[in-house]
Amino acid sequence: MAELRRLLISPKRLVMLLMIAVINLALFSGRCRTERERFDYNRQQRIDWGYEDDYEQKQLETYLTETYPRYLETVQMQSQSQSVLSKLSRDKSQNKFIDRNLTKTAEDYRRLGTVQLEYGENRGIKILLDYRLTDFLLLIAPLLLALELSGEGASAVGALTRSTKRGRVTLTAWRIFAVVLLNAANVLLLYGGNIAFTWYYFGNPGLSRAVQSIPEFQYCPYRLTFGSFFLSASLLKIAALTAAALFFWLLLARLHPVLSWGISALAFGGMYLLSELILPTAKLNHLKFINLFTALEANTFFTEYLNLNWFSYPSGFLTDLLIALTLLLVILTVLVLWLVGWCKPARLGERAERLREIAGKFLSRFQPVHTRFGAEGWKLLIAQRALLTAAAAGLLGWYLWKDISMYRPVSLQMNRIYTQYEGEITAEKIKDADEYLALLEERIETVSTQLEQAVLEEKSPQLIAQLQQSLSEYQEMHELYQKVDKILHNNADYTARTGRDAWFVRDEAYQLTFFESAAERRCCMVLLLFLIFAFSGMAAYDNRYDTRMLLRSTKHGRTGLYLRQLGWIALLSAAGSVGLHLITLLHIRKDSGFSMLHAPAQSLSYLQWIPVSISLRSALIWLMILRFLAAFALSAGIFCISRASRTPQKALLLSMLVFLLPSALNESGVLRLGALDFVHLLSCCKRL
Amino acid sequence: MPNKLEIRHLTKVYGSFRALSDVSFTLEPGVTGLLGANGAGKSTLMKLMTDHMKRTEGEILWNDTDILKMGAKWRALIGYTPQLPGVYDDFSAKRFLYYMGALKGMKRRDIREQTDEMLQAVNLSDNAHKKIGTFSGGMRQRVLLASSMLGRPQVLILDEPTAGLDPEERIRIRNDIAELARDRIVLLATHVVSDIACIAKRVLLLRRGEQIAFETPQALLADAEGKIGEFSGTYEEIRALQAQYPGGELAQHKEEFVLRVAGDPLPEGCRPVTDALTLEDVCHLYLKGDRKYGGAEKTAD
Repeated sequence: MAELRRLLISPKRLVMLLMIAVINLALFSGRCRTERERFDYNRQQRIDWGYEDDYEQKQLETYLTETYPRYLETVQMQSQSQSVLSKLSRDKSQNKFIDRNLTKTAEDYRRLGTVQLEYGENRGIKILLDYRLTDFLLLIAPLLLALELSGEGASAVGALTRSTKRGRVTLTAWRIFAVVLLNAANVLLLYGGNIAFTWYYFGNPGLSRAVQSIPEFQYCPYRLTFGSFFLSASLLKIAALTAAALFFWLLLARLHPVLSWGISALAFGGMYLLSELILPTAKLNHLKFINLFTALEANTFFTEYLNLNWFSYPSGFLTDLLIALTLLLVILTVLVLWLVGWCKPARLGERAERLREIAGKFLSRFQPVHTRFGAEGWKLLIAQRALLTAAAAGLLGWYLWKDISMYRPVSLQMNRIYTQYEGEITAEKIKDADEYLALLEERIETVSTQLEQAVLEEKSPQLIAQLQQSLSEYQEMHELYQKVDKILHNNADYTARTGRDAWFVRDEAYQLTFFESAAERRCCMVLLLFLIFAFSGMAAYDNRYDTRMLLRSTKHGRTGLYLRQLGWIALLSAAGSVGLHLITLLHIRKDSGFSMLHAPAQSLSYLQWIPVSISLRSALIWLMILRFLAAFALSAGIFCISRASRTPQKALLLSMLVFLLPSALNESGVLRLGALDFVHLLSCCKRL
Repeated sequence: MPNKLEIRHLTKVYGSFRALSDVSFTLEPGVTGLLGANGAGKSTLMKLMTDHMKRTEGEILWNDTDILKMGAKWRALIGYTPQLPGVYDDFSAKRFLYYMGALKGMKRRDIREQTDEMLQAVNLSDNAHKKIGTFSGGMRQRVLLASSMLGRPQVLILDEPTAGLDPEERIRIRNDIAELARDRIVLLATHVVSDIACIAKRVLLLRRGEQIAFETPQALLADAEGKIGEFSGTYEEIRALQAQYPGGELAQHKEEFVLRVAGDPLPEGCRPVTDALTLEDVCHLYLKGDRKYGGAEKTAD
């Protein structure tokens, strides 16, 4: 019990768990906002294109009353019809599997005939199903605990605890239990936090509803409610996390560090790649589904239906996974109890140490003497792992870019019209747009009349459908031209009024850059995380062990040292800002190219407040400078906290508390802290 | 003219606590031993000498110029080994020395040459590529010592540089320090009195922030004559006496037990020690209790 208290209720561990939860909330709430914007955008789009407001509701109604019951019937029918077809196949073993699989599938779905489907709030559940970042964040706490536990084995503390009566197997058993409890708390905080947040943000998802009530669970063969689904997914996650932590602990405790890190990287990296790259229907799909990362994701097992082929016998992939996970957990627990608890501490792979020794000696000969600036850079990037942080931020940025990329609406019509009118606004262009708009209005009227007549005269359905389509196309074009015409007139008026040029440019391309959006804020949140993780340890690293006292006794160990550290802060803040801009610049390039960057900034209605004539390029550069200054100011604040902290860990926690927590609360909408919204400061967009 | 480092009426007060009180002495080339119990003000004195903290009163003059006016020029002249439990764990010993060389403003070629030389001097050449985090306490201490000697400073301020070293290493480092001190000032604070006894030209004794003595070891030993005595007897007798003289040092000579005590005058029944007086005895005499050094004269005054 004392060990549980030491490991779990230590302030350090609790703060760490809370901080991971805050990071998760910050990123997840951003995703929810993005999704909400997407829902709203799609809804508006549908309304604009003439669909009814309750379109989604009707779609769901069709699914609940028609699609799903029909699907269940189809499964039973296919089972009979395809069973006949499979008998014609030449591959006998495959044939047997298909036969058995069809029978099993029919049986699995037969019990769902009486399932009661219900309406409810589905948006939060859909987001939860798609969101994977939490799964990776879940891995942090148990792996860190495993690292801590393994470090004790050969140390003086390890020798001390092992010399006591219950310091071996019993203590190890308690520690395994602590790993399980930590994982449970971790899942509750992070995954449970996500569920709670979607509830808060979108409303009650209806935990007692059958999971088949939303189309995403159409293939789920289990009689589950959403409540029991969340519970099952959580248990799967806890089991996967525990297996990962025990595996890591075992390797670190019994192998040389180089070997254990290498094997861990290979095992975890390999499993992740297998879970991502293998197709669900591939022959080796066992490796995809009996996999820690798929277990950690958990949703697949409830939203898909698949039987794995075991020597021509089909077996449900969730059952297979559960058997494999149970076996793995039992084996790992026994191995940890035996090798870590019972056996004397020893590490295999001393040859690796020898190799490292030789390599280290050899490389040491070529070790350069850095300049003071270079040495500070090495200290920050390598010794304090800021390079790893940058790589992680880059990966996260890329993930966001993909996310935003999907969000971008694409319309060929729009592209054509914009290309036609892009550039300086001339009287001819305005006239042309006015004329075309009038022509479109005329055509809409004509087609509407034709359509009314066709309906009245009960003409052929093909003709009515054709007229309806024409009308919808004309309406869409009319809407676009109306928008273009409005911009042309507004900008021409602005020029006439102020004497400052305003051209016609595609404003959508620049919206992501100049407007504050959920997507943009998420990018800023990643930048904030990067700044905190990269710089919070910077000065505290010198405070640890009072090393600063030694540095200050040297000729350049005072102002010179700070200036160089600030130089690196400026450099990395600039790199982070550029990285953030890269995402939006890529969007501009994708949407309109950079051909209109020489256009006046006032061409965009939201930049018409700028009192001097500047180009869009200048406006972009100014925004970049502003954002860089904001990032630099924030980094300097983080550096100040670091300067006042005794250790990098304390500095990190304090920085997260001061900068991340208020921003995360603001971002999630849980608490509005206005001035303390540092994400908003980094974004610098609202003012524009 | 040899360099000199003059400390005049140096005082440091933390709130209401006087860590250092009106300390004055002058250092010249050679080793000066700094002795004192824990909390005597040794580290505070050294921090003031490296200008790491603000002094409350007094002056520190390098060849008659206040070190505060010299700023970075003063720091370019000194080498400092603080009492640290560790330094950058992720640096190799070599990288750490390169870094310290850069901070000391040395040229790259000199850094490379002197790093190899110093690593050899502290017997770390074979471990130069290893991370400091993997080093034992003694090895870390040697890395710090090597770093203080980089750039061949005029003044070496060493705060317990031999702590954690094995006897063989300690003797080697001690000899190296003695060699270095031939043409530079070395202030060596330590609890290992024998280190100072062998190589120190002068000894500075501090007690609760006050300067007790600043003298040659010979003068200190001479002053201690007749003030150190021994009781001998059975274990039980000596244990009974120890309750009376709690500061006494207990030793066993064959079957007989001895309690070595310091006092002026010596307690009754105590046999004065006339030969084989050591600096340990001097420390025993002055650092425990409230005794003042009789012949101590403050050189700066």
